[in-house]
Amino acid sequence: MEQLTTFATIFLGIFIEAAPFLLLGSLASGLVEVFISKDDMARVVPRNLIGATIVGGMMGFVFPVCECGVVPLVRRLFNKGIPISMGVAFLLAAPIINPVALASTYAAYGFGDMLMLRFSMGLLVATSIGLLFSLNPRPLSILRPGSIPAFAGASPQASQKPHKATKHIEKMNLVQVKQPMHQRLQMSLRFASDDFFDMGKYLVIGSMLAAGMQTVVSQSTLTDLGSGPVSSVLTMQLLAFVLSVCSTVDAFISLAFRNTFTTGSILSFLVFGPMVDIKSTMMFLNVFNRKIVLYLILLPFLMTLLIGIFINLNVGI
Amino acid sequence: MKARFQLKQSSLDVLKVFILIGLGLFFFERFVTGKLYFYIAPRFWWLSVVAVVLCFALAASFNLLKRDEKDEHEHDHHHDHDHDHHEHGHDHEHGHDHSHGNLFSVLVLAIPLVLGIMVAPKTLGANAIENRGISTDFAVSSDAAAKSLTIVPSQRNVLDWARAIAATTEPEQFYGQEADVIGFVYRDSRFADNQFMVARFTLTCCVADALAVGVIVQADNAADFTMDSWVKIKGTFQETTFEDSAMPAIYATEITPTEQPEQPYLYQ
Repeated sequence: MEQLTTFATIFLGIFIEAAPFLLLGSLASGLVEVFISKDDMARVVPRNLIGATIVGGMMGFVFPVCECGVVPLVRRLFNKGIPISMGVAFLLAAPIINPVALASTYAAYGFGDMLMLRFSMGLLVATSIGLLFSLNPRPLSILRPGSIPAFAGASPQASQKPHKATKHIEKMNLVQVKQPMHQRLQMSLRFASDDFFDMGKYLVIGSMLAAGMQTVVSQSTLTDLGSGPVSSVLTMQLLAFVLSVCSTVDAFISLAFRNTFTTGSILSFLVFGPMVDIKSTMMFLNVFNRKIVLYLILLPFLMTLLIGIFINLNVGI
Repeated sequence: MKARFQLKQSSLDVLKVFILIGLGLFFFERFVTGKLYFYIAPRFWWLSVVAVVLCFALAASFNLLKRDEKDEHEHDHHHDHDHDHHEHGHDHEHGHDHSHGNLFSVLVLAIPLVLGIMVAPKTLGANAIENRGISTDFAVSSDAAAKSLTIVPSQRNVLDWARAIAATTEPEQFYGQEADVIGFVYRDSRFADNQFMVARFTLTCCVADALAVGVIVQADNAADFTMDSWVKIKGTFQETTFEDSAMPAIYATEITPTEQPEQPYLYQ
């Protein structure tokens, strides 16, 4: 019973803090859906691959969302035809490279190495993985079929059942042009609520998993592991995954580990945690194919592991 | 068959509206009663305002849209013969609903609501320390420790003391200073019979990052106080031995059982 209460408290703690961010992300996504057309997007997106990917990595300044809000938003952006590399870079970088997360990192660590490293390594990891994904000969196949309706007209994969969907999109675009402002706002909210329910269930399940882990697995077993240059990094990555705290506040949490853990491991926590954790993994599953979700976990994991170990061995602890 | 699907979609929408309103009321209730801060740190109060406003706005979008759809009859829709059909078309616009807009996935969003109502809000206690550990020397930024030291000793809380003790290399400076703190009793096998720890949970952002901090208390009647009970402690700091090393501890002159404070957590 005690355990159930502890579980419920931690679960609600994560949910109450993350749900407003998901609601905001869904709102942004609903507004994008209704107010930004494919043509608008095509005008903004750079033609060249690397340029587009870097823009994707920096787009958090335009849409300041954390890892809960970015998932519904990136789905809508794919819908608007942004390249895969740009979308993936945005997905991974936005939780770190946005004004809110940077401000909280600044508040926790001041203007120094940690802030610069978090920013630059976050961008590096996100854009590299974005570029890697663009090597896929069929880039659109990474998206879970059916997750993005408007792809129906745009991709060969989805062309099996494009008819109805395309017709509806056309109709919707027609509606967009015709409708007065207040109706378009209502449409945005309606899209936002669809996104909220779509992603919300993964947030709930992810928060439950995280709370369950925290109730059952002892945190001290984790922290006992970590002062070695490699084991400390692994430990902090695992901790980031399990804790599933919002990227806008994780800098404060990492402070608690600063004296007991290596610098490289703290950096890995701050770069890996926002990209991947239990709840965002659950939400990825709603947008991407399973295999791609695995890559989206493993690639940031390996890259931040290497970065953490490199810093520990070469820059000192 | 088509008709049944449409019916199900529209009743799902009703369910969604109920859940959104429920979540909005839940956030509102926790915010108004102050129970919100059992879960998250007060500086994030505005998050719940955002949640209340957006939950209600999203709920409203369902009803309002339906009404407007009737108005659209004349100019927008080409193939609608009845109201139900409308909704069907509408759901296609939100295409992704087909595969997973089912009852189960909508009901998942009711889980926080159900748990929030069924399980009485309770703060973490000594029981949770077993899993989370307790820290006698945790990392603090020097700013935070310096801020704690500007507080008059008798006004410092458990977190202030824990910070000050963790940050200093000269614990002697605290010896002789008066302490007056409230916290819950925690002990494990490391403590001697005449020792326990007066502990508090501190939050940085939400209970998921809750960290227990504490100060050692030395008293002859230490064993009289049960684990997890709240106590008010007055005394003076002196050196004690804990796990074979010298540590500052409160030598208690007065230990009074007390109620759990309204805000049981301390916030970093």
